[in-house]
Amino acid sequence: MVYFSQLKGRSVYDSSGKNIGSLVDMAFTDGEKYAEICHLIYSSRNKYRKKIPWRFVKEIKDNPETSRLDADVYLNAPESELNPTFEQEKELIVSRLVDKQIIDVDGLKVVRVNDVLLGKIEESFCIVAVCVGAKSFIRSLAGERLGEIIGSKIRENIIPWEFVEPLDPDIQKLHVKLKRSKIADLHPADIADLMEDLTYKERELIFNALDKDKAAQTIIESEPEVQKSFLRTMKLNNILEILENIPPNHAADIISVMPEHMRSDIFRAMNRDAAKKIREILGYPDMSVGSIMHTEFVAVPGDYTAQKAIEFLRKTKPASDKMYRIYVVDSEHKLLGFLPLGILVTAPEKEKIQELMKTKIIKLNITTSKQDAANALSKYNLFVLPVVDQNNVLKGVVKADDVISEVMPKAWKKRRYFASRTRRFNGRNGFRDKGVMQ
Amino acid sequence: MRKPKISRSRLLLFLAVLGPGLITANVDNDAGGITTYSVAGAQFGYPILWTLIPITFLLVLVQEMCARMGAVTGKGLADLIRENFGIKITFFIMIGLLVANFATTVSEFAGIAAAGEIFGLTKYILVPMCAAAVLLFTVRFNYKKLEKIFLLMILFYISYIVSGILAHPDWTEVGRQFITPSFQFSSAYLIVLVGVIGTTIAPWMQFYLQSSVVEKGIRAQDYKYSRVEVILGCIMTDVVSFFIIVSCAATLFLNGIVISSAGDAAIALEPLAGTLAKELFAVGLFGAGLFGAFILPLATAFYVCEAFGWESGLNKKLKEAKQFYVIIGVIIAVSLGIILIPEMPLLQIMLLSQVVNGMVLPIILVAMLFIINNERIMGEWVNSRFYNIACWISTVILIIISVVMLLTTFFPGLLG
Repeated sequence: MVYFSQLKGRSVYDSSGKNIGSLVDMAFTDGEKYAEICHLIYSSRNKYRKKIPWRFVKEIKDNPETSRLDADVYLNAPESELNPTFEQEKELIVSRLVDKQIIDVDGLKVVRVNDVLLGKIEESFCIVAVCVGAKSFIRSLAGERLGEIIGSKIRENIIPWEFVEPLDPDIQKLHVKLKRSKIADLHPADIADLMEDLTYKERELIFNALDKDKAAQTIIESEPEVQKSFLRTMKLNNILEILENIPPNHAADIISVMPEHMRSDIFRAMNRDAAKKIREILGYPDMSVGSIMHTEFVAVPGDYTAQKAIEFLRKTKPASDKMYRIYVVDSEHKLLGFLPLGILVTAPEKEKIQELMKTKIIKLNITTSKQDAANALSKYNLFVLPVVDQNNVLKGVVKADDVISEVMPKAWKKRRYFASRTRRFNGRNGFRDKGVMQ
Repeated sequence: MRKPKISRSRLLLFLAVLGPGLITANVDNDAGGITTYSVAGAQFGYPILWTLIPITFLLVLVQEMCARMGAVTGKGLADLIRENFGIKITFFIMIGLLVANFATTVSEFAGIAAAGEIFGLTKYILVPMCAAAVLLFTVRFNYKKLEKIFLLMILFYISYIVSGILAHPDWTEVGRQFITPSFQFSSAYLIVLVGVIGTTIAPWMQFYLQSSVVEKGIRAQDYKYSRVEVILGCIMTDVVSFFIIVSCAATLFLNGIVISSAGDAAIALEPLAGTLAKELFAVGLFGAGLFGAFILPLATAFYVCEAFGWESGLNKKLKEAKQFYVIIGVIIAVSLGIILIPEMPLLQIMLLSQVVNGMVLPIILVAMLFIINNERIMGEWVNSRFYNIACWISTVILIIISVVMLLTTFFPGLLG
């Protein structure tokens, strides 16, 4: 394997041994695991950059007269048969990766590329990984020999190409075209954290590569500043589509960061029911549970039979996490009690719900503060609590995870936590994430 | 006839982009700046005032470019430099910036020490206390919030305008000198001139402004509003500089008083302009020093890490962002150490720091000009021809002044 910094500037010899110029760059085509080098770009004495297919390269071998690190490029054809062409403007070239920021999809952070590691994979010459650590930093700064001396104790820190998401717009566009934006596999909360380190253009590129659900979830998980930056560039229709497909409490969160004029446009265009729910949530004071409660829950009238209730569940198909507790209400939607799913499914078919339900129910008022809600959830060891208004009408449910993120000290939230992931890379050349041999 | 009307939404847009320019203007007049202007006024009097006109012009040019680059690319200046010039050039620019910012931090502490002495506080207690406070601020508080608090420092700067008026300058003379160019071919004059340029258009300010624009999320399409704010900020900076020079020129220069620190300037103001003028001067100096000492090490660490791709940010743990915290810690600790050495010539240090800034500036300017004229980066937002001509002429003049100044320092007889 060889580093790009080692190859750059090396002499290129044709088959007759004539020095035809020096290597300045390489063009590549992107691929899933490796990016294959397809062209060699050299600059001859008259300074033009010329491009020849990589198949002309016979070998990259050490010059016996100098030290072993000097790797010159030997071609398998005479200069007259090369027919060099010129680069295109948007060519993917290796030097466009160097010095740029990329996303390490596996380590979940934005890093800067100091060097690129190339190697022979089966019959083709490929970009195997990018180098980001101190060793490559010293090597590109101080030159190879000095870098070797200073950095001999430091391990090479590389990111396999498989886990690299370049941020260069042209390379990015290609990724999106190939439908292989690696970032799409990440959890939305992790994507949201990464977004904070990117420029607005990069954010949009990545955001547009996500599917609708993931995009919506990513917006929900993002910091208000990032949300604002998305909303400013999205089309009204796309925003609507997202807002109508997420729970109203999250939609309300997003709408609350919008500028006034945008808000009224959105409400006007939105379907009436959804708009009403969102407005209601926006109407609750910021510090109350009303502003974070979910308005989607499962409630059945007390006079239903067990069979009828089960049929109701079959018909409406609520999400499984919303079914564990079924709330029981009267004809005016006043909260009477609750029914654990387990009791319902094991009950005799004809049994009335009001006979089965538990009436000892802990509930929150809509104006209860978030802190008190957190207290109640923690004290009674519950994951979810119903929320009622002053007339005991059931309005929504508050979930522990929503409360946690609200009452957690800001400083904690800023501490980024990335769920641990395993590096799945098993390169054919058998190197692990750190420590590369030549 | 219809009156020109500013529509409400336009005004809102302007207010929404407000911040970067004004805050930068505020940070610009730091303790080192105040000292440099005081010395300039005391040593050369009103005749040096006219230089503020071309300096303001250049400041507007430079800051406008930074704000534009920030809005168009969404990237910081250090980021752009690294991506366009590679690691080696970036390394040297960052070393220059590091040295200049380190020297400036020393001058901030020197300002605190000088201000303390006026109120009878010894630097051996005050400066370590302030350094501890700065560290505490850095680690414990949200930097964005602190920035807003420091925005209130605009009030401190009013104190300089008041001091200037209390000094009862001869306004017709001030006006006449302000618009009459003059020049002195002496080493002392050149050093002060480079210092004034260096402190007004401090290189790190350009990095600071550009990151503020990026963080604020200003885009190319709202940029025209941001531009107005940046220009306002530049003018505000130099109005304050103007009054500092005037107050020192009207009192110290006319009475032939030689000063050796901004603190001296304040003390010397007392019999000539009253106790209030002295105290206002000192309070302003203290505030400016504290703010500078807080923001400089932090900003430096951010830019260096940005350029080299190291982890940065106060929300990271020490282990994750080693380089970031080391830079902050070392700058504060070493600056503090230098200030605490007895008999340290504080004025020379402060002046020297601004001179270093003045010498790093042309290098940064050249880098900026290359980036901003690159169509691949800036698209339709590249510089106009007029803009480029003005910038290149200024850069060449800056380089000439710096070189001549260096030559006269090493060969004192050169200009006689």
